[in-house]
Amino acid sequence: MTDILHYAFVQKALIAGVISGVLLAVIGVYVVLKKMSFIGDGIAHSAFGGVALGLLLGFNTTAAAVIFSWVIAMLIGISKKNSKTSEDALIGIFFAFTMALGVIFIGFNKTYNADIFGYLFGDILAVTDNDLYAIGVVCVLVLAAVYIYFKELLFFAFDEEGARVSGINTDFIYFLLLTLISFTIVVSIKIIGIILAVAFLIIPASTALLLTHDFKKLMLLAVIISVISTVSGFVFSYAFNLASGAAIVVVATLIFGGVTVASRLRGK
Amino acid sequence: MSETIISLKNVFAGYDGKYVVEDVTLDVMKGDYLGIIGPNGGGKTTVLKLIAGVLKPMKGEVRVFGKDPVKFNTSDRLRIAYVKQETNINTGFPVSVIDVVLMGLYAGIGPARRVEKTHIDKAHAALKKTGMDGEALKHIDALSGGQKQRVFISRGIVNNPELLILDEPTTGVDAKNQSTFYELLYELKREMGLTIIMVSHDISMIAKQVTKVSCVNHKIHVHGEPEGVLTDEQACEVCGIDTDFIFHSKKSGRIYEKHDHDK
Repeated sequence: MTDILHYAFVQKALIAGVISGVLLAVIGVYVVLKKMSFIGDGIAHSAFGGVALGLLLGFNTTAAAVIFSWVIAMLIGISKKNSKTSEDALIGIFFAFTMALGVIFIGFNKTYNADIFGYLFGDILAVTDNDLYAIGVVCVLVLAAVYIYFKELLFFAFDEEGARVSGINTDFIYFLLLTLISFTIVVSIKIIGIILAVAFLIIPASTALLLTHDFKKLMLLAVIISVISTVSGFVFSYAFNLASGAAIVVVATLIFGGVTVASRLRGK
Repeated sequence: MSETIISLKNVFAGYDGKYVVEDVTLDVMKGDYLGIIGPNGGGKTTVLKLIAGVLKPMKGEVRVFGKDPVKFNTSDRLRIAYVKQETNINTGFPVSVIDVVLMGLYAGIGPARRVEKTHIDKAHAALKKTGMDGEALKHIDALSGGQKQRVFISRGIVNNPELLILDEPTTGVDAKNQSTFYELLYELKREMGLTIIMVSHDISMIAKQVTKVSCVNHKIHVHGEPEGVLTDEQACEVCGIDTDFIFHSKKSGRIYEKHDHDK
């Protein structure tokens, strides 16, 4: 099995998988604690519209999806702050609208022959040099933002109103978090897929939350669980020719199940 | 004459285009201890949110320390502490007691800067004032409702604010601990020279401790010293005051005679 590590495409796949695993775990901690999983799902699905638009116009699909998802994330945030419609309903509307746009864009594309299945469920072996650069750049940007606004993000996730009254610019932090979620999800599409991205945003953080009450340890544990799931999921997907996203999510879910049972037993 | 630090003039405010409070006018002076009473859904929390700058008025003018609180900068915000109902706090969150108190210092520390020993010392000092320093390393969920409220007050006072706003702080606190909680507030007010505004259903406490009472039931119906408000027949009807609580009789102990309509 270690022989496969000599192949450049395998090395790229593993590097991309580990980086996106780290990013998804770090951002996932805020998504879980702030109870934003549905908004994460909405942003992930909006990437489908972006990918389809990129294919239709002949643009780089990652760049098109980043811009498209970010615009949709901002629209969800602005609508939430200014609309009488509930946040859940707004996300549902944008979710359906962007998927519908994606289907229409694909319909327009007469010469289209891309692997849609790969975008929806992940195809880690299809990671290109450009994908790797995009993941690297986004990784630096996202981790830098988390480092700079670590305290503000923590306070915002714990008590948004309290943070606002105490002088934190919570509107800025909210839109920053939406931006970080959209960037993280989009660069992870090749590895995990649009449909499963939100699962991988939630599972490592939820698993870590069963193991610790310390925020920094929680983030570290989420990253470790995420990287273990990504690497072992990749191995399974390669060995059994499975969709990489599906294999990674199954491993992560099995770890979550095991930790849940163990913590229940320990509790008794 | 003491200084007016909060002024609401003909304020209309609410949510989703509907007014919850209408034509509210209110002045709070430096050093006041204002109790806000009134029925559920009458707009008490809305008035607090207007003062804290969390909610914009639809009409009228709100001034706190002479400025619009919605447009407060960070140093203005550090002059206010807002403690909401304990039941509205995010449970299961992985933070300790000292972490929660340190959050009160975050805006002053600023982005990209780490928490230092001086900040931790300040947080311990704030916890000592509320008698919670011994629990500093516990997970926040391991505390009782009353203990959590003391921690949130510590977070509020960690910046030495001038104004402390409390929204039903004893919700979820057992009766035995409520009186010690109010004693703590009184002591903090005396020691730190705080102005306090508190929404409470506890009329007996309002009668004993506060220097002013406002009754909010969509409008401010009465506003003044407790002697006037809590013996006002109209206030009892409009604000749903249970006259069983108003059982005192001499000014020294803030004790009220029964109303004519109770006799």
